[in-house]
Amino acid sequence: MKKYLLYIVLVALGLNGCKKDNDKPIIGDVDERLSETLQAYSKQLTDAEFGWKGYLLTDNQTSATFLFKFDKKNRTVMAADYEEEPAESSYRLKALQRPTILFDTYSTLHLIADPNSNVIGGTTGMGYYSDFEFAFMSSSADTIHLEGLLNKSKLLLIRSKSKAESERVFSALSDVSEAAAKIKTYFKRTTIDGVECEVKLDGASQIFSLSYLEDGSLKTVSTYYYVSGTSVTFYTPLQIGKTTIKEITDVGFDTGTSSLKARINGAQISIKEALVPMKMDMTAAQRWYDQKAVNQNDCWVSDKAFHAEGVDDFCNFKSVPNFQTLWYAGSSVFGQPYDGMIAMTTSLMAPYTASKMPIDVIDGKAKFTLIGSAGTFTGTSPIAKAMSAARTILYGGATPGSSEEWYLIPTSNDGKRYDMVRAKDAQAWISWRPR
Amino acid sequence: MLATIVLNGCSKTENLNADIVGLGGDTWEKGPIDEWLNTNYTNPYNIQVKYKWDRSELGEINKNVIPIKEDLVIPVMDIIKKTWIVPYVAVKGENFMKKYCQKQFYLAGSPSYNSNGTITLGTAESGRKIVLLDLNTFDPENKPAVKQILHTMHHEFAHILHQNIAFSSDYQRITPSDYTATWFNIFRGAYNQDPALDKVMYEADFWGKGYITPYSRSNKDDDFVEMVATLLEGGEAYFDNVINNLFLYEGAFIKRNANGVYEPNTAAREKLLKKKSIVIAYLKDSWGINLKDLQLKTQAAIEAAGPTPNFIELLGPGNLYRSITVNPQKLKNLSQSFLTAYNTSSTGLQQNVGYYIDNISLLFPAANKMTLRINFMDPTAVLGPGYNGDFDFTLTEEDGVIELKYANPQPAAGTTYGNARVIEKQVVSLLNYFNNQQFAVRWVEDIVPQSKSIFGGLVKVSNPNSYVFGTL
Repeated sequence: MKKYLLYIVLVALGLNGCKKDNDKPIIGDVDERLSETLQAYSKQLTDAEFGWKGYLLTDNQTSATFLFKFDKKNRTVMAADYEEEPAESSYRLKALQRPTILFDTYSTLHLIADPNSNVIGGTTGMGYYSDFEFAFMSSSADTIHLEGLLNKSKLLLIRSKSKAESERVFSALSDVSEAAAKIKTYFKRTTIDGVECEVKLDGASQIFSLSYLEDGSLKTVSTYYYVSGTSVTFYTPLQIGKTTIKEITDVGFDTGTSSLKARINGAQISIKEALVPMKMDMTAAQRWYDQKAVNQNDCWVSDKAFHAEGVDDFCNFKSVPNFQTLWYAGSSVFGQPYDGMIAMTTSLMAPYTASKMPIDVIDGKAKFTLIGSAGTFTGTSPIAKAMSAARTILYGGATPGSSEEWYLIPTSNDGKRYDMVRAKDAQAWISWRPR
Repeated sequence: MLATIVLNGCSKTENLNADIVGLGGDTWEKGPIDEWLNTNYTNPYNIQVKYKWDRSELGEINKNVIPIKEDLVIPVMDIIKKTWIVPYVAVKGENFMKKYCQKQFYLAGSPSYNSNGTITLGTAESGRKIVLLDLNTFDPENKPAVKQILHTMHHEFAHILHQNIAFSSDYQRITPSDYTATWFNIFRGAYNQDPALDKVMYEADFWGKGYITPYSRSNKDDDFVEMVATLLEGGEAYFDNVINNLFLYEGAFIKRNANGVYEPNTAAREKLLKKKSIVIAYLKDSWGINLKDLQLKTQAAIEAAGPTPNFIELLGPGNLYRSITVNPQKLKNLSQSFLTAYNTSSTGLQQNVGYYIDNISLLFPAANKMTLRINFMDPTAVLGPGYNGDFDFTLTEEDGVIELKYANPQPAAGTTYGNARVIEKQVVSLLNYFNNQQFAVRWVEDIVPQSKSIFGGLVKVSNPNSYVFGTL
């Protein structure tokens, strides 16, 4: 009996094992699909007649702009905003965990990934935390989103539509910065979805920020951006009210209204001059002054000195041989009972000004009063001309007793970075940092 | 039972012809670099050279390393072929290399930066693969850098040899107690703020303990292959010079007796020489390789790949070398006539003034001038750098031959010239060795084999058996 049972079981097993021919994958063979995907990406890349504009944001938030051309023989020619001479290297597409593009021999793209900091800087061992192996994250006909395999840097490829567009790829960023600079005031105001916002566009570090009032306090949201044509596109979308902003398009200066016109999600916006901060920080001026004494050498320093009337370095400090920074320093620097403004070249250099010590704080604004000047402010030497112009801006005049009021705008959370904006017209400003 | 089994096997058909993406290796359009590698490596030696990026080839895959520049691939691999493969083939034949050489090279552009502050320049995996890093700084003209790559090659290949046939366990018993995992802490600047003392302490930490390089102290295997690599890449004169410079120190200065006779570091010398003799015996007995022969061919290949200019072209103001230092206690094979002049002066100085000569150097501060600097010591004083006495000679040069004439008068100003007046009557034999004589200024590899760039010398035109040479 036991034997029979065994036979029956075996027969049953045998029958079961025969019914196996309907397991074809409904969506096709996985390898075939992968292979097709790679071929499709390859075709997409090589078909772009005018190449691809590339926007890279590395893991340490370094931005770079590229122009790529891909051919069918695994060769690519690329240029970058930091190395505009086109150079040829090799690339290939490979199925790793995801479809991946490898820039597989040394190229312009590798310069900022190079861990040898003698090449173009960055951190030893890390470079600028960039990548040259990128996975395809998503794509449409004209846009490909890539992500670095090692450092997770983001690379966006946007198909160039014309020769002219390719030629403009490296100037688009500064074009937008220049258009924005035509708004002469420090404060730039717009209304997005009914919310009044302060706009800040920092072309040097490619950071865009919006500040707005929420329950009486000032909120700031910011993101890294890149500029393609006349569009300012954000690496991370910003949220204002119910509006999600991924990019600001059609950015251009409108001479008629002296404002920056642009579109957000199709709707026209206008960025205009504003003379006062959105929310006055009543204690900022005093905090700034107190921090000076805490800072190294009892001073604030500025790398770019004054921006005024739409011109960076209005006083032309860059013409001063070996100019490093402009200081606003305390009495311990001068050894006298006054503060003052002085330029640092190879050392601290006359001429310099003497301010009433301490500053006056009036309605939250810092008031600087000139009490005297030392050294030669006249003549044609670059430092005399620059310091003379700077004195007129800071104090509103060159004679003792002249005074000018300034807003202090904190630009970092640790209280060690301030922008100082001329209160009467908001058309002059300077950025301070500790030495 | 049988019937059921047959039924079981019946009905499934598997698709065994699917193309798996990426299986069979990456493909790309082949270019001139690929062709060159095929002709020079893949076809003759079955070696694959990968220069296109493939992160999986790296030992540590989470490092920021970048690929090699394309235009450096052929120069790098060409020099490796000429100075590593070709000498071995010449000694052991094609089949030996085909059988034992690494089967894969992977080339990358930057070093791999380690968390302990060191950088990795290359790795090898069980005789199969060599990863060469930091190649983007490669410059065929930069001989030290080229030699560093060859050192890596010979180092890794020696690993393959001893992984196939082990070397004698006698080797690890020579310096059993000084192997350390923290060998990488041995570097210049780690010991003392005074550079001279730092150098002495640094060298004492490996050479002085019987190891040929800091890396040798890592473990017995690396010690062994560093020895092989140094002998081949550095050459005979380099190794002998290391041995001949091993002395016992008191602070920054060599210990000595009242007559200035140095105390050699006999223990370290013996250890290094014993290690060398085991390497020689191993290569001969296990592989039938004559080290001397292989060394000769490797050195000749290195020289052929980047010929060293004539010594006279590298000597003098504005050039690589400005002086020749001659210390008979650190040099072998100085000519008898020079030694006679040197010893006569030193003995005379000691008997009449109470000083002895420690060393001399020949300085070339101007195109028409040579200064003979005699460094002498007062044996009653605390051990120190001693005193320098400078004697000027006018120099005229033609076709690599210089003629020296004792300057008359000698400069009056300066301590070194003042010192010279104190000893000048006792060192006449040395002054006369140079005065009114013609010398060929040249490399002396006929006197000390493989000594180019280590020793340079002056050989008398009137008598080629009379010469002096020294370190540069």
